[in-house]
Amino acid sequence: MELTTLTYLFVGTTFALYIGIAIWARASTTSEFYVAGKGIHPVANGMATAADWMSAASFISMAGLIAFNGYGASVFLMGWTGGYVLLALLLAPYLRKFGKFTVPEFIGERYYSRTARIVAVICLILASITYVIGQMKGIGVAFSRFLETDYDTGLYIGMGIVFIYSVLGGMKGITYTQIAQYCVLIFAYTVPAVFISLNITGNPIPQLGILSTMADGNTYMMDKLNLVVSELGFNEYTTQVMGSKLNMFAYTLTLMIGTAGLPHVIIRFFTVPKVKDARATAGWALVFIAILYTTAPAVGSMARLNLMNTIQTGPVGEVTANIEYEKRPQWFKNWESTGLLKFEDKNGDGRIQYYNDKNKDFAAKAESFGWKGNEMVKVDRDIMVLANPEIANLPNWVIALVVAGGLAAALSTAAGLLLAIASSISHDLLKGIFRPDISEREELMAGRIAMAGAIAMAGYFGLHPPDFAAGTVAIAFGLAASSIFPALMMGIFNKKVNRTGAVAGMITGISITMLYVFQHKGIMFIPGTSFLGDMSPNWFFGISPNAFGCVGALANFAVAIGVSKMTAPVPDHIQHLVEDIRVPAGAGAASDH
Amino acid sequence: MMFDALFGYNYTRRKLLKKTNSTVMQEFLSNPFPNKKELITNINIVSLDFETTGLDIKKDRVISIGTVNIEHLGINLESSSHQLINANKKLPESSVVIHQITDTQLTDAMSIEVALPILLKKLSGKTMLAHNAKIELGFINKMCQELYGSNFIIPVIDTQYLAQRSLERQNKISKSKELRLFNLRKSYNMPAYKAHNALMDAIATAELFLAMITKISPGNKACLRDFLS
Amino acid sequence: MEIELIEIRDFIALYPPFDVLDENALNTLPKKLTIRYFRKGSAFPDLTLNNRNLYIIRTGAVELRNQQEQLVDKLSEGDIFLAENVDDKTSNVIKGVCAEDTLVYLLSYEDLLLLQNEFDDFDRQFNFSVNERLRHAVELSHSADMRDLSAMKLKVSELTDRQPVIVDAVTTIQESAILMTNEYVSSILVTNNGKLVGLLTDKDIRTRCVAKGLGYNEPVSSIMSTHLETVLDKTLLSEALLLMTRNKIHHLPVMKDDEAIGILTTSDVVRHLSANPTLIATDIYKANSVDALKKISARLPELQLQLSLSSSTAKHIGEVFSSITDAITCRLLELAENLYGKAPVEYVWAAGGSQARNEQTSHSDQDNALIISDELQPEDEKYFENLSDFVCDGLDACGYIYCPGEAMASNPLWRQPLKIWVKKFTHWIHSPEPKALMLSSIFFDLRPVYGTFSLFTELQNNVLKQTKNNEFFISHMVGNALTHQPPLGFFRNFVMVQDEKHKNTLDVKHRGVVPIVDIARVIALDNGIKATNTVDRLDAAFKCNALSAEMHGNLIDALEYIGSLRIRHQAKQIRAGLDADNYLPPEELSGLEKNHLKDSFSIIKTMQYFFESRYPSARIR
Repeated sequence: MELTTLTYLFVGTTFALYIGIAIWARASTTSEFYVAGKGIHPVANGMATAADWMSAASFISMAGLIAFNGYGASVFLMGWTGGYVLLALLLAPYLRKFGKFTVPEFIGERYYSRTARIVAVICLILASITYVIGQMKGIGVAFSRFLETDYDTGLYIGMGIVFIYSVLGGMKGITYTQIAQYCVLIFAYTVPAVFISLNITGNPIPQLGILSTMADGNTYMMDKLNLVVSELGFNEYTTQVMGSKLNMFAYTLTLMIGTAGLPHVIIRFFTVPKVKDARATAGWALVFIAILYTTAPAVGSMARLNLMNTIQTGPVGEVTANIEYEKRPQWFKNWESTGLLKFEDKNGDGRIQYYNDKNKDFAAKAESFGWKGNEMVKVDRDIMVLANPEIANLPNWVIALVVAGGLAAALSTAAGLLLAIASSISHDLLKGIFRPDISEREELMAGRIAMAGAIAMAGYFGLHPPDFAAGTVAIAFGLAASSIFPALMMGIFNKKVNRTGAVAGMITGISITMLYVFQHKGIMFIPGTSFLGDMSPNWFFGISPNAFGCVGALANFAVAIGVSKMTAPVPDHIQHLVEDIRVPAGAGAASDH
Repeated sequence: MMFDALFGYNYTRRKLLKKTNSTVMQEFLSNPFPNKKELITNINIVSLDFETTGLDIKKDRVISIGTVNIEHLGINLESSSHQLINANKKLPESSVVIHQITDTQLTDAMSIEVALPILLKKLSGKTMLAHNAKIELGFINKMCQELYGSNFIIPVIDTQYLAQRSLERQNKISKSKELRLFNLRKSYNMPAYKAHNALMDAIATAELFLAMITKISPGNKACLRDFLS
Repeated sequence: MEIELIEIRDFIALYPPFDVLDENALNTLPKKLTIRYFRKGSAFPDLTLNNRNLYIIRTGAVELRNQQEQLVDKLSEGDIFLAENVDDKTSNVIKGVCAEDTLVYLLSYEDLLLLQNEFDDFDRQFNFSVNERLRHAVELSHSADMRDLSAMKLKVSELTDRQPVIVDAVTTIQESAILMTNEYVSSILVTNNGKLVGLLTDKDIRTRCVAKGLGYNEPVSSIMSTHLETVLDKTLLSEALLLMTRNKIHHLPVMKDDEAIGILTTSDVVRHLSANPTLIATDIYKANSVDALKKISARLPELQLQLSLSSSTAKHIGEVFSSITDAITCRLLELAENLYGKAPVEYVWAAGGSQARNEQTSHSDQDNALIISDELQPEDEKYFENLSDFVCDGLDACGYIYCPGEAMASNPLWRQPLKIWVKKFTHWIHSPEPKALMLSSIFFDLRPVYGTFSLFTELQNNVLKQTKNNEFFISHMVGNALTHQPPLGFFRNFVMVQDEKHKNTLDVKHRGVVPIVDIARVIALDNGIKATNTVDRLDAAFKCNALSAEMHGNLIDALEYIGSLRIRHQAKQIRAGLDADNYLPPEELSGLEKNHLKDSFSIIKTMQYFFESRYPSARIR
């Protein structure tokens, strides 16, 4: 069957499935209590949580990042996994005990201050919108390929669909829908990986394939990849890092602690009523997340290998070893039409030369081959996962499946976030400050307008991408890490931090981080407005803007504690409240205070 | 009283006017009382209530006077007045409970020598209204005799008498309880006043009378004589 | 001013627009008034008065009619009416007739103008009052029957027509007796520092003083009844009657804002009792066996039919039926106590679900719970088991079938000492599992019916303390409240029930009434509101700003509208000899009614969307 038809079919079927499950789940609960609803099994719940957790960034971008950044991109793996564990162990139990789990509610109550609450809301909105940019980009990529249009059109269509999806409440909601989404998503991710792994290494399990020898049995796949990329002047795959060791560390830490503050993530820990089940759910979710995350390195490295092998068919330097542009494969043409892949015949030989022209040593060598610079002027890293099955010549239905999976991941996360943003703006800001007497209907309308505004904004930045999807998301985590996380931690673990301290800390943290990001990436990411180039020599201690969140967090901690020491102490009842949260749940609950 | 009525109160008034030397009494008696055949709507009535130290006219004293005027069947509250009287005598406890007037309040009150001429001026040429009027009449008469050596005369409407009469006309035996101001008002769906003082009772009596007029003469065509005791 | 006119001043100060006047203006106002009296049936206002006057109704009632003789307004106590100058022929003369003997205060137009000039607030209020009345008049002329006052609907305040006589606790018996004699009352209230502490009746003086040879100078506190049952002014007569018969008392102080405003006596009630549904309640208290109760409850469907024909509101019918269920429950408990003896320790029988919310219709399931004092000994457990079984079986025999979810006192889980209940609720609140949420309509809608109410109050205070502002718990409750959605499709079409038995009908209970009830419960728990009735909860929510004026009004209207259609549908079924259900075929509705019903559903939808967006996690189940 035609690929287009198949894609329509798969995307259509999966969406029909989600909607069907949503309707069925709602309808079946209308019965009376004597068919008492049983709790959802932790395994099922774990799947739903995993689906919620994995955004477009996880599904679409991570493998792409790994493909091009090699070992360095493992910060995303470590950061996001570590963040999940951190949240599950360090924050969730206490927030649950406190009875508040939306961050502004917690901060407003703990710091007994409306100002603190408002500052938290603003930080949260900034972080969330940044995060949505990443999702919008993923959606744009998926739609442009799916509908075979250019990326811009794909993004516009994606914006429209996200808006409708979010306003209708997002079919996320129902756990069963999310289970289905997880199934589609993981299937779409692993099936191509299995095929590719089989092709390249002969091992059907990608996690093992990446560590085994090539199908010809002589070299290890990793060695082969290292060889291929270094021959073309790229950094060696397995030793390539993102900046300095400190930067790697800071990057990982930022992603980890940033996770804690993002609303759509934190909510998941409170949808399970029983503490015991909540723990089991968190455990299972980790397992289901791990399935995708451990596959990602294999997908990334194999995709890179396939890409290189497609273009560079023989030994470097031989004229015929570079594929002729006219003979480029179908997938190349497909992605060219989206504008995410661009070829420019710089030396006019009709063949494609793809190499690292920034590497001075190799550039000189390339000159001698008659190469006039890297001719793959644009290879958007976000296309890697989606293009992977095509590159590997997998059957059309696998390609269609991946598109469906990507859309599932991106749509559910985007809808969840947009709903949270809408609620924050309409309830916390509008009703909380400007118009306390607003009616529910008006609040709802304001929420929808806010949602449309957020989508428009995210769409704008998606069209003028400051960075690839995961990179943008990293900034979101940085913003959350520098503002929300410290406020939460100190709220729980330091009863001496008062409202003035918390507000000063949050403002300092997010300001420093934003300033640093803007300084290097341009004000509001507008190209040309940066003070300093986004280059490692200009970085503070060699820490990249994406990784700077943890520095902001440190500043936040320092300022908050310092200011608290100098200003009025925390009222007694709040101190008791904080002490109370740390008593294990259940221990003191039944006693009468 | 019946005797007075028989001979006509204006006849008695003129007789008393000739006899008295008191200027207060002369002033009071010089204004003619309204004609019995006058329409009730046109009669100026003064509703009057006393609070006393007891019901024995010989021994007890008036301790407060409440009055309010009825003009054209409307109670004019602007004319309302309440005057405490210094009785120069310690109040017995039982009446304190009922009237809630304490001795201390009485000390800023007027003596009866000052208060009575004021009251007589108000009543001059008018018709007097009271509930169980013989108490009020008895006290005024006694005080006039003591202070001015003259008897007192005025056309009188008594709401208790009117109520009793109407019950008797329906061949019902009237119980004293039913004839109490409070219970009569209740039977006319009138509000219960909490306060128990001379002015509120005067007003309450006036309101009751307005209600009775509408019952006795629905078209307001009745004359004064239809109501006189 | 003459302090003696204080009563007139106080009366006027109660009502708009005069309530905005300052102390000084109020004090001088009575002197400017004239009092007039209008006999029932006489013309109003008095056309013989040539001046324009403002009429203030002191007592009585006036019906105002327009030139087409249509009733446009009814004036009663505290209402004002500006009588136009009779010479002014152009004015739209509204004529009135006194429906009752009416006492009015007149304020001359000149004095009115002075007040309007001097007090801006008064001027605004005055114009507002006049406009308000006009609007009201329009509404009145549209609605069919506003003066239907069956005895069941009467509030006790409408029966207590005089101020209670009050004495201080230190007053002697003799002084009190004199006062009672003078005031011609058979009972007086006793207060201590303004707080109501007791009630003294003729009988108390006879039995506790005279018969015992107690001195007449002892304080009344030594002989008064201190075990006081009171009712609120807005309590329904039917409920007050239950309380009186249940406790075998003849006097009930009527309270308003913690102040006694009257005493309701049995003779007051008897006066108002003719042939009406309240008799059922009295019959219940005369019943001496379960069989007798069963016979009485067989009359309930008929009663529902009658009430729905008398254009009673759905809320009112719910109140009536719930109080009857209360009565049957109480009677059963009394019978059980007669059978098994007095309870070894204190307990309270609490009703759950629709009965607790005062929203029952003729026959519903029974939901109840027993809260026992913590002093419960293991050997007493058998007693409460017997008691609960007796009552639950009795209720079932009376048509209140056993709760399918086993939420009944006969189930040992629902018959626990207070401390276990506290633990249970704490667990439910901290682990709101689906099963617990399903039962929330029962256990978060509890109302004490019989026994020691303080046990219940303690539990309720504890529960509300834990639920108030508890985002975690509330979001789970919201999730549960969203399970029932109005049957309105994307294109404003009705979504019909599909199963064979009720094909092509609308489930107005689960998809109309229940969503509102659920939402009201969530708001109540979130804001620590104690009320159980849905309308009361919404009112309280509005008062504490948890609900906007717009949504408050809309939800109450929607609830009443859907409720009234449901009642009408059930009445139709009862008349046809069928069992009443909640499945409304749209054919029963006119085009306009369909539209109104859709409006009501879309109000619910908006509210649910709102809650969904407020608690995004609620959608995740």
